[in-house]
Amino acid sequence: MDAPTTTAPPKQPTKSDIAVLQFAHGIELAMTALYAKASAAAGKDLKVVTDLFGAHHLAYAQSLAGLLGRSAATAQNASFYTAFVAAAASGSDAELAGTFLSLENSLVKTHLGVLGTITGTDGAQLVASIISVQGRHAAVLAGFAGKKALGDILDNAAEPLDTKTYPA
Amino acid sequence: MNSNNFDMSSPVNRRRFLLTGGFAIATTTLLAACGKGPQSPAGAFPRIGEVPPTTGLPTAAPTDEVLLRTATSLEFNAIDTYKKVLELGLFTGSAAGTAAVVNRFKADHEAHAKALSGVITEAKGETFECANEQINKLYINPALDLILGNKDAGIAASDTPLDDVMALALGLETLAAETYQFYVSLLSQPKLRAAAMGIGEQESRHAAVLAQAINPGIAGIGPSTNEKTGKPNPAAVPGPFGSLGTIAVALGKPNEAGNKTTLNMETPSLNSMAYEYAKCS
Repeated sequence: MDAPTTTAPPKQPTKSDIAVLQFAHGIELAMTALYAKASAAAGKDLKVVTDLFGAHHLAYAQSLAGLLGRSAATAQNASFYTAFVAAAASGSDAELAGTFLSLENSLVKTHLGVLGTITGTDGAQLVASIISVQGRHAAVLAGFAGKKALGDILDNAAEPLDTKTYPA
Repeated sequence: MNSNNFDMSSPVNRRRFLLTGGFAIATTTLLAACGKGPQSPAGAFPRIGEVPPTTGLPTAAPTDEVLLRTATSLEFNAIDTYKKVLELGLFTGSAAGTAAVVNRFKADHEAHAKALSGVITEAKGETFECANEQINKLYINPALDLILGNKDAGIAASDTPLDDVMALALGLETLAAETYQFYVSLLSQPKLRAAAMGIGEQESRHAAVLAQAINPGIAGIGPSTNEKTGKPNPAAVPGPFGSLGTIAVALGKPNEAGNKTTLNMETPSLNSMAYEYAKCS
């Protein structure tokens, strides 16, 4: 294996980390708003889930804002929100859960991309702790979406979100 | 004379005798210990008896290679445990479907181990393709003893082996997920962090599926507390962020108070890593 580096990675986000984390922050803010829309449209049990997961995404946005300080995104990612708000606000519980299953899977892939890019360890630790739970979100939502096969719960074939498709 | 009939003004009384005698004994012992006798070679602390010579472990650092080797070893712990569990023949009747879940998880861990070995090989490192002995010794063997019983150790078998196997599996999957998350802070290269967490995220999904199997329905999704024991119930999503805390697994035959033995698991730290000098036996 490569000789171990003698320079410890930086703790704080670097300049190039900040742009990547800003994108993640804008997406998390949008997810919070999308879950709020879903909460109004969901049945009793799914509402419990959308409220809980929405609160988690708010916590992610707040933590990323804390990490980024004055460099934090000032608003949600509008193009991402616009692309999914209709699907997040209507449909049966299974359809709503299916929408959010797909979004959570995309966010897992997006954050894995973030993790593979940023060098600061503070940001890496935060993003890793988010990824771990978003995978759990997806597993729960798969059940509400009527997915019974293990592959539908455990496998993630989603594509990551990118700044070209969803500019901040 | 005082009330105890000892004359304190006398140059020799019992208290003074004891004080003087004690001091003399202590001084003699100290001088003997400091002496250059055959039992205290120059530069060594004095000691009584023979101490067998020890060989220290080589100096090693938790490099990226070591972290990935350790993660691989944990995958083999899971593979071996699931193999043993499947051989117990517990998954019959209403639990027959659980065998498919266990088989899928075992296959996932095999794929993870292969992927990690691939990353290590690609970086010209040496793979480590066996279970972590320290994890076996600290967690898995004691857990299996509590479930299956161990006559030699005086441990009775569990009354609810299937429930305990599920609890152990949840503990192991959570341990694996936490390990990858923890190692993100130790790995030096971003691409390795992403590769590790890509696997860690799958372990988290395993844990969520198991938590729902143990504590099904809407009540088992978020965090909750068992009213009887005051301990947290298994939850598919126990909190907003991935925890790095101790994982408590309750297993075995309940004691007189009705409590099972709690096994506390923690992510492999410096004393449990698969350093470069460690070999699979």
